[in-house]
Order: sequence, then structure tokens, then C-alpha cells
Amino acid sequence: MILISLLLTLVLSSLCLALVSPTLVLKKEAMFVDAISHSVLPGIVFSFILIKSLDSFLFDFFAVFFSFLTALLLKKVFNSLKISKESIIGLFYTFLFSIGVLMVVFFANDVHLDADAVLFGQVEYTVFDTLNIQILPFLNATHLKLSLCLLVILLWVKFFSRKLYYESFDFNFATFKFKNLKYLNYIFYLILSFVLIMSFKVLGVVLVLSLAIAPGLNAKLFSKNLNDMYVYSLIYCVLSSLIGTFVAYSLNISIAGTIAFCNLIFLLLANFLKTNSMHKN
Amino acid sequence: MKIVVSNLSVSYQNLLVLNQVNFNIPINTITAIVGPNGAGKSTLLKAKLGLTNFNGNISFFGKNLKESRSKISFMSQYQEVDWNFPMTVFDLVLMGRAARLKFWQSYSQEDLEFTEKTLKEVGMWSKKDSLISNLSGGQKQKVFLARSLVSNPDILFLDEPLAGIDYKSMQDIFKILKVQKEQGKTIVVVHHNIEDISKYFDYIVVVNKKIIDFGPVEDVIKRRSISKAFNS
Amino acid sequence: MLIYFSVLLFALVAALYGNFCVFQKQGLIADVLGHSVFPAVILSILLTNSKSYFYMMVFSFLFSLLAFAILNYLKRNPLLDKDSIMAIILSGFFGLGTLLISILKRNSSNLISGVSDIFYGNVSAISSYDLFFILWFSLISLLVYYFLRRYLIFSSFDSTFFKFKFKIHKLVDFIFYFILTFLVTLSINLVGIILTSALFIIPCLISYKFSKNYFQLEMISSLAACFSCFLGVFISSNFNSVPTGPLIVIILGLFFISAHFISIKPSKL
Repeated sequence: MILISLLLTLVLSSLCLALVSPTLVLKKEAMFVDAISHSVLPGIVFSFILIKSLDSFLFDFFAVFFSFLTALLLKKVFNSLKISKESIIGLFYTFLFSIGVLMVVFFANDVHLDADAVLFGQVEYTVFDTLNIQILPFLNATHLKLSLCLLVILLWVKFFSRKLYYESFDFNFATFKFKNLKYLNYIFYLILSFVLIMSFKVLGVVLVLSLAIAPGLNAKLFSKNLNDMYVYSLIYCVLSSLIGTFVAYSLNISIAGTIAFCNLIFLLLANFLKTNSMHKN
Repeated sequence: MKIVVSNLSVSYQNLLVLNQVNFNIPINTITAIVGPNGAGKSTLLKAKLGLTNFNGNISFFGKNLKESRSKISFMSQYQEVDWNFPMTVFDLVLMGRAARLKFWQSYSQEDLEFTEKTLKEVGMWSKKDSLISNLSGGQKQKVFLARSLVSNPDILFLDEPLAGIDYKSMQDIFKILKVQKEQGKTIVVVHHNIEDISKYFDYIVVVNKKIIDFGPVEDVIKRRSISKAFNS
Repeated sequence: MLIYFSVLLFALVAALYGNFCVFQKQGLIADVLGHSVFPAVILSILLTNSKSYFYMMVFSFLFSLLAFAILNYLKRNPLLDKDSIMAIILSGFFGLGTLLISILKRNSSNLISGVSDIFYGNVSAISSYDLFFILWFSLISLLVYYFLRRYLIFSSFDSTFFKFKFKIHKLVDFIFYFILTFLVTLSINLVGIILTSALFIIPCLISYKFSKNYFQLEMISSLAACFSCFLGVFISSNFNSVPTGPLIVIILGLFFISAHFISIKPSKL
């Protein structure tokens, strides 16, 4: 029963991440996600100080709000410096993350919002977080939130992902031809913030980064169009999560760590397959 | 009826890239915008398309950009595009028809037919299912050109469409442009080469941070403005 | 006293090498190298059943090189962009570390203490053996820097010409990344694995607006790095609950903010 609940959480989270993955990879914003995941720490700690609970909806709301603000600020900063764009992001997120760590040390040291949990997440712990109304024995609040997230993302994929796909390909053309491209990006960052915050609690910062990029990246190697990207991402996500969880469970080691590491191995494998087939042609 | 640019100035971070530019382009011509590297040719194009901030005034046959946007199309510079994208040739050209779609709509039968027609016009129909990363330089530019034609615009802006392609492809592209001109379109090309200008273009604008000269090709050549721009 | 001297020397060298990271647009490479050290440390504890500093350095160095090699291997595929590759390598290696920690927790929980030091840096945990190592390596790096400097400046500002003119550019690159990898490994003591890139890139960002030539850039960035490390180490060693890494980074960040505002005020030159 616990195992099913665990698997459900994992699958829901990774599906959400797999669906934003193509856009992130095509926009080349992988390190941007890394930066966001580190920069939101002050926001999360601040939300925690305000709401005093990690599980309430209000906490999620504030955390997503701060995450969204941070993403926008990061984007603005990214575009401002001429010298080396990725360096300014490096400065920004290490600075914010440091502030966050000190905030944890000074204000929140007694609660289970400790630095390790922030980094690793504990997939196992969410099993014990329950909603007052329980639909089925093994469903809980986290599952509900993640399903809502998944629904929103599916709608977004259906209606809005295409224009961002075009924008990542040819920025000038898309900006010229399409109105409201800026707002589409804002919507995307809002959805991204929502997905990231939900997933951080479940999977931890590192695994989130891995699952947000790996499906899209592997898909890109084999895709001919946007639909292919999404299909391959979903297939990859399900396969890698299942394999990773199985390996972790058999060896009795951390699930998050195993999946993240497997994603690296799979990428190397996929790259090897792809470059070999390219040479044959 | 002309495309009129008056008192256009563009600056990036306190650096003046274009200074008080004034010129006009008559309807139904193939115009070249030439100048040395860094002269601001691409910037001029981007300003006209509203892709960069500027001071000054631009009108397209009497109307402003907002009103004429649907009748204008453009071809980006080769290097500013990610050619390793998961996209087929057909999808790339189809992208040109996306501007009219609302977010809940998908491509219509008319969109698909127009894409087919345009691809055949540029001679790339046989490659319609190829990945764009598998194309040669000349093929990429042709497909790119097809995308700007598929929406049936009145004005075409092309940013260095002939950079780095073979001679045969270049001839093919100019042939296509001539056909478009005969159909009544106005074509403006940012061109990197000053050889054979009179062979391919009717009109020319010479830029080097400001307007050196503009007008019909023969007049500008007679006035030796081009060599002035490149030697100053 | 030795602590301060070693740390300051290290900060100096980090800033000097870091300047080139920024100019070659490799700002986040220190991040990738830093994250790849995490599994190395855990693995060395697991395999040698001790917290020997020497083995940790050896493993860290090997893992960093491995991460770097994987990065270059994957970059050869034009479909994969550098950004995404770095993210996967970063998270992959870190995931390996997480995995190894769960094994460590199971088997020998007494060795687990102090592992969090490598996340955020803890200057109080640096032994005199480590200090000795840091000191000597910083000196060697400084010496090498003196010889590499000309080539690195050339290569950062006009790399195509550099590759064309100097046949030894591959050697220069190799030595640079070799030393950088070591420096990143050593910086773990001070700032921890997550914040490594900060120590290398922020000093450069602070100084580039004020420097009229490269020597000035070196001076100002080194000064900024040294001062921040000095202050960070001072505060951290007197207040034990405060981790060193975040402290140093915040000081560097404040420097940057003030430098940024100062440079906006004066009239356009």
C-alpha cells in the first residue's frame, strides 16, 4: 500500500516535469532551472516563516508566488549583462541561496526544513502527509495537488506550447509574427514555478533538475517534431522512473539519487546510439 | 507609394548604432541594403520590423507597422536560428502560416495546401519530411525563403539570405525573388556583397551608421557612393 | 595565523583563474566540477573507511576530470546544447552522491558526521594537513599562472586567432582546466560544493567595470576575493553555527551590488 502511494507520487511528479521538459530543453534554459531551484530557497523559507507549516495550501501559494517572482527577476538579470550571461546567473543564484541557507540557520533550524531535506527531498516522507478527506486509502493531498498540476500542464501543452516552440527556434521571426509572446512566457514561468515547488518537496532539488531536463534532452535526439518530443519525453520518464525505482528498491538505496544517476547513464547511452546511427547514414 | 523611414536613430547601451537615417523605398522593387560590417544594416531591418527600440518614424505605404504587420514577412539571419531543432522542412514552412491562428485553432487545409505550393515553388518539395539539420546551406535558405513567402505578404524583408551559400542556390533564390516581384511584391534585402548589384537589384540603400546614399542602382553606382561607404 | 594566510592566497589564485572562466563564458563550469566532487568524497569514505583528506582529494580530482571528460564527449553532438548537458552531469553526479550516502548511512553511521561541511564549507573543520596542502598548491598555481597568463589573455579575447597562431593552445587549455579542477576541489573546504562557482566568478564581475586594463582587473578581483574570504572566515570561526560558504558568498554579493551602484552614478565616460 505504501509502495503504491510512493510510486503514484513519483509518477505524477515526473510526468509533470516530463511535460515541461521539451520546452525547457528547446529554450536552452536548463541551467536557468538550476538557478531557480537554488534561488527560491529564501522565498520558501520566508513562506515557511509566514505560514509556519510545510503542508498547507497557503504555503504552496506563497512559495509558488516567490518562485515566480524569482524566475522573472532572474530572466531580467540574465538579459541585462553583456559580458557573460551565465556568470551573472551564477552570482545571482549563489547569492540568493546563501541568504536562504543563513535564513534557515537563524530562523528555522528546529523544524524539519533543514538543509539536507531541501536538497534531497524525501520521497518516502510524503506518504505520511494526509488530507482530511480521503478518497481512497492510498491517496493523499500531495496526489491531489500533483494531479491538478498535471491537468494544467496538459492544457498548456495542447494550446500554448507550439508558439514557444517556434520562439525557441527563431526568436526574431516569432516575436515579429506572434502577439503576446511575452505573456506566454510569463504563463510558462508561472506553471514552471508551480511544478518546481510541488516537486521540490517530493523529489528534492537535484532530482527535479534531472527530471526536468533528461526527458526532453533524450527526446530531442530522436524527434522530428514537437509531438514526437512530448511522446518520447513521456515514454522516457515512465521508463526511467520505473527502472530507477526498481534498482533503488532492490539495492535499498536512495530512490532520488538512483534516478538522477540513471538519467546521466541513459543520456550517455542514447548519445552513443544516436551518434553511431548517424555515422551509418 | 513608398516605404518611408524618417529620422531613425537606434542606440544600444549608449552607443549610437544608427544616426538620423532618412530614406524611402518605392513599391514593387527589389532593394538592397548594403554597407560594411557593423554598419547597422541588420539593425535597420530590425528597427523597421519593430524588433528593436528606436527613435523616429517608419511607414509602410502610408500605414504604420501595427496596421501592416499581416502583410509583411521576413527571413531571419542564418546564424540567429537553431538549425539543430527537431523540425521537418514542411513544419518549418508551415510556421509561416501560424500568425493567423488563435491558440485553440490548428492548421487548416488551406494552410497545408499553401505550404505545399510554396515548397514546390522553391524546389524543396522532395525534402518535405527531412529534418532541417540534414539540409545543406543553400537548401536551408530556400526553405527559409519559402516560410516567408507562404503567408503571401506584400512586403518581404530578407536578412542576408545569401550568406555562405553556393552560386547555383544563389541564382535560384534570385530567380524566385524576381517571380515574386512580378507578382507585385516589394522586396528588401540586406546584402553582404557588393558585386553584381546592378544585375539583381533595382534600388539600393547604402548605410554606414548613417545613410550614405539611396536611389536607383545605376544612379548610386554613378555617384560612387558604395566605395565611399566601404572606404570611410 | 596560517589559516588566514593560506585562505587569502587561495582566494587570490581562485580569483585570477576565475577571471578567465568568466571571459571564456565558462562561468558555470566550476559549478559542474564542484557538484561532481560530492560522490567522490563519499566514495573515498566508503572505500577507504576513513576520512583521509588525501584520498578525498585524489578521488575528487578524478571525478572532476571524469565529469569534464563527459561534458566534452557529449558536447560533440550538435543536438545537445551545453546548458542541458551540464544540468544532467551536475544532477547525475550529485544523484550518485546521494545514492552513496544512503549506503554510508546504512553501513557506518559514525562517519556521516561532518559530511554537511562539504555542502556549505566549514573553515573550522580544516586541519593543518589540509591547510598545508592548500598553501602549497596555491603557490604552485600562482607560479603556473605567471607563465600561462599571456596565453590565457590572448585565448580569452580572440580565441580563433589564438587557435590559429599558437599550436600549444591545447596544452594551455589542458593545464588551465587541470589546475582549475584542483582549485575547485580545494574550494570545497571554504565554500562547499554548491557555491563553488561564486568564488571564481563574482570577483571578476565586481571588478570588470572599474578596470581599464587587465592588470587592474587582476588587482581588484583578487582584493575583493581576499577581503571577502578574510571576513567570512573571521566571522565563521567565531560563530560556529554559521557556515563559511554562504557567508563568503553574501559578502562577495554585497560587494558586487555596491560596485554596481557606484559605477552607475558617475557620468558616461
